[in-house]
Amino acid sequence: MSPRELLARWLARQLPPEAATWLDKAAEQVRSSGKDADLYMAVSLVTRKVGKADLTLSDTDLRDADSSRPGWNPRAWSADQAARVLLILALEADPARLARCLDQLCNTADVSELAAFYRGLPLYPDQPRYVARATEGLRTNMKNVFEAIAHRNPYPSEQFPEAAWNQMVLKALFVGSPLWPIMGLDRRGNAELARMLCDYAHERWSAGRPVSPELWRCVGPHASGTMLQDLERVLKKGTEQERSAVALSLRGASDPAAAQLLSADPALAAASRGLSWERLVSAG
Amino acid sequence: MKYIDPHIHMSARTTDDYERMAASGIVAVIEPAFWLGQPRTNSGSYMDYLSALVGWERFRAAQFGIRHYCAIGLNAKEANNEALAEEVIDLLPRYLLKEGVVALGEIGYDDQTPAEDK
Repeated sequence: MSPRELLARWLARQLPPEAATWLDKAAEQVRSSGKDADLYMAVSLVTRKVGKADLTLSDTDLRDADSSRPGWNPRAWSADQAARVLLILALEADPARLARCLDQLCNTADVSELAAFYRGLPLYPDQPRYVARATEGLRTNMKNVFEAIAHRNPYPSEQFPEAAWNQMVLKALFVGSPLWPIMGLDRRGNAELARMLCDYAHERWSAGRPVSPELWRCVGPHASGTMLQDLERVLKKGTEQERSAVALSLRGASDPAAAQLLSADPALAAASRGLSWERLVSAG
Repeated sequence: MKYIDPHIHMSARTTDDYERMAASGIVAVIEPAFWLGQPRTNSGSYMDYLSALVGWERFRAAQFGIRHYCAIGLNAKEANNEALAEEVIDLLPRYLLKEGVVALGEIGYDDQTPAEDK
C-alpha cells in the first residue's frame, strides 16, 4: 500500500462516519477539480471537520508505514495532520502542481498546518524538489515546526546538502531540541559539523553556560587535533552524564588518539556499554 | 478569575506582555487585523501579516497558555487603494476557514468614501 492509501485507511477506521465521508469527498474533489482553491479550503477546514485527536496506530501500522516508505515514522502524528497530508497527496500524480500548491499552503499556513505540511515531506513525489522548502521551514522560530522537519523525519538526512544538514543540527542544540530523534544523525556526521559544534561548546563555556551532552555524539567519531582536547576536558571536568556522552561518542571514533581517550578509562568505557543516546538524555 | 481579552493587537506588543497577561488570568485573546500605522503598498505584505496572526502569534501566545484567536479583514483605511483592496479580498478566503479565525474584522469606515462602501 502507498502512504496515501495507508493514511486513508487509518483515518477511515478512526473517524466518525460523517467526518470520514467529508474527507473522502474533499480528497476526491481536490484530485479531480483542477482548482487549487479546493485544496486550500479543504486543508483549512480539517481541524473543524476531523478534530485534533492523536492518530491511533498499532505496531503493525507502524511496520506498514516503514515498508511503504522506508524511514517514515507516523507514531506521533495527529488525525488532523494525517488528513492534511492525505489531501495534499491527492495531487501526487502531478508533482509540479503539488510542489507549487505546497508553497502556497506554507505561505498562508497557521502554526499547526505548518507542522503537518513538513511532517509530510518524506511522502511527497519527486523528493529532491523540497530541499529549499524544508530549509526555509527550519528558519522558523516555532519549535514545533522546527521539530516537524528535524525529528523523526527521514527527509533531511536523505536530501540535505552538508551545509544545510550541519545548520539544522547546530540549530537544534541552539533552540534546546534533543538530537536523538534526528534520523541519520550518525550517518550524516562530518568533520565540519564536529568543528562547528566544538566552536559552539567553547562559546557556551566562555559564557559559563551548560553544553548539551548530546553535542559530543557528533564530535567523537570525527574528532582530531584540538577537538580531542575538548573531549578530554569533558572527560576530566564534566558531569557524570557528560562523561558518559563522550564515552558513547568515542565508541565510533576513527582517530586512534580519540579511541585511546576511552581505553584510558576502563571503568567509564564499561559503564557506557549498553547505554543509548535516548536513555542518556532522559536520565539527565 | 479568568478573562478573555476580546480586542487586542498582540503583534504590536512584547512577549513580556503575554507573560503579564497570563499572570493576570487572561486565558484567551482575539486579535482583529489592523493596519501598520501607514498604508500597505502590496498584497504580499498583507499576506505575511495575516500569516503571522495565525502562525507566530498563535505560537507565541501558546507558550504562556493563552489561546490566540483572530479576526481577518481588509481595514477600511486600506479600502481606498482599490487595486490593493481587490487583491486582498481575493486572499481572505485562504484564511477565513482556519482554526483560529473567528470573525471578519476589524471593519468600519475611515473616510466614508465609495471605495470603502464597496
